[in-house]
Amino acid sequence: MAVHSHHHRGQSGITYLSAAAARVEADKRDTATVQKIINEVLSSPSIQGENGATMTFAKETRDLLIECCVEFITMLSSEANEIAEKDAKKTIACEHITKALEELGFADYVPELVAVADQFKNSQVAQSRERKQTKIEQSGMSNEELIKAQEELFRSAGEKYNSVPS
Amino acid sequence: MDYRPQSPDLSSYAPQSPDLSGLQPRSPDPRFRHQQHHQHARFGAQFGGGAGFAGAALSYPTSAPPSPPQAQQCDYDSLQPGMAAYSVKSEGDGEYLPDAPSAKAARRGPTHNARGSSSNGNGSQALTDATLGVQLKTSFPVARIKRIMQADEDIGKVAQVTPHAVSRALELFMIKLISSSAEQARGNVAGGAGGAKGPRKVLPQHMKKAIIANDTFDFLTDIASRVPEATAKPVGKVKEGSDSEETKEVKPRKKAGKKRKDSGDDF
Repeated sequence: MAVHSHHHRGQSGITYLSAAAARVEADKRDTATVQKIINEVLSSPSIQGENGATMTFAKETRDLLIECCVEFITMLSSEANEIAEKDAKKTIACEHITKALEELGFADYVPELVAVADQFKNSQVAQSRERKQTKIEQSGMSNEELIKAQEELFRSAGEKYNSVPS
Repeated sequence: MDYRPQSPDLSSYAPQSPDLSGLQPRSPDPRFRHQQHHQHARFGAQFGGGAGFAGAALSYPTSAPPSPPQAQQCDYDSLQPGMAAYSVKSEGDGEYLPDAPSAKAARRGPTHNARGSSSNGNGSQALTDATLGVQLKTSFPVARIKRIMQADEDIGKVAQVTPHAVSRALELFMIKLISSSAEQARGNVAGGAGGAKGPRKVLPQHMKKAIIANDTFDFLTDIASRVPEATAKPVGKVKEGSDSEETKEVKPRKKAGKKRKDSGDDF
C-alpha cells in the first residue's frame, strides 16, 4: 500500500508520503479544527459513558487522528480516482466517491453523502454558476458574435468617454 | 433450482418516524426552521477559500429527509434502491474552479439531525446511524480537503461538489474513530475501581486498539503499528496501582520506545 515516513520539519509537522510520492504536511490549523471536532464528539450525549464523564484526547492521540484523517482522504480519493478512470471520466464526481465508499466498507456513509450532493445542487454556488452559464447560452449568440458584441461595447464606451467636452 | 430467499419478518419492526419538532435534546426548534437560510451560507463560506479554519464553525445544514427529486433527472444508475436520486453533472461543467473570494457568511448555523437512524425504514435497516447520534458543528475545510486530494499526482480534476462530499465522509469517519477510541479508553478502566470520576485521557494506544478491532480501519494498521505499546509515566489521575491501562500491556518504561515527536508532552 502506501509508504509512510515521518520527517521532522522543526515544528510539529507531520509529513506523509503516499504511494504516488506526494507530500501532505499537517497544517497547524488542522489541529484547531480537529480539536473542536474531538470535543464535540466526546461531549455528545450519545458518546458519553453512563456516569457522564467526558473523555479527553491526549495530544499524541489527536496527532494520530489527524494522520488517520489524511490517510482516509487520500485512500478515498485514490479509490474514487480509479473508479472515475474506469468510468472514462477525468473528473472525480460525487458518485465516484460514493462508489469508493462502498468498496472500502463504508457503505453506511452513502446516504449522508447523497444528501450533501443534493443540498449542493440547491446551494447558491451551484445555482449561480448555472445561471451564468445559462445566460450566455440564452443570448443565442456564438462565441464569435459575443466577442464582437463585446468589442462594440468597448468601442462605444470609449467614444462616449472621448466625446465628453473637457 | 428455485431460488427463493426468505424475506425477513418485519412484523415486529417498527421504526420510529423522526419527530421533527424536537429534533435533538440540544437543539431548540427555531434553529431547525432556519436551515434553509443557513444551508446557502454553508456552501458559500466553505467554498470561498478555506481561510481561517480555527474560527470556522461550519454547520451541516439539514432539510427534510431526502426524497427523490421529481423534477430532476436521475442519471445515477448505480444508486441502490432506497437512496435519494440525484443527477450528476456531465464532465464539462462539473470541474472544480479555483477558490474564488467570498463574503464571510454566517458560520454558525443549525446542527444537522441524526439522519441515518430514522429516515430509512425500508430495507436499509442493516445500515446503522453513521453519525452515531452526534451532530457536528465543525468540519474540515473544503479547500484543505481538496489540497490533500490533489497532493496525489494521479488525481486529476475534481468536481466542485466532491470535496464537500469527502468532508462529510471524513466527519463520519472521525466520529467513528473518536468514539471507538474513547470506548477503548473507557473500557480499560475496569469498572472504575473507585476512581473514574474525573475526565479520562484517550491515549494513542486506545486508538490503536480501536483500529485493530475494526475491519474498516484496516487501511490504518500501518499508522497504528507505529504507536508504541508502552507509554511514559501517566498523569497520575486514576492510577490505582493495579488496574491501569498502562500496566495491562507492558510494564511502563519511562522513556523507552517513545517514537512520537512531541515527547515534550507527558501523560
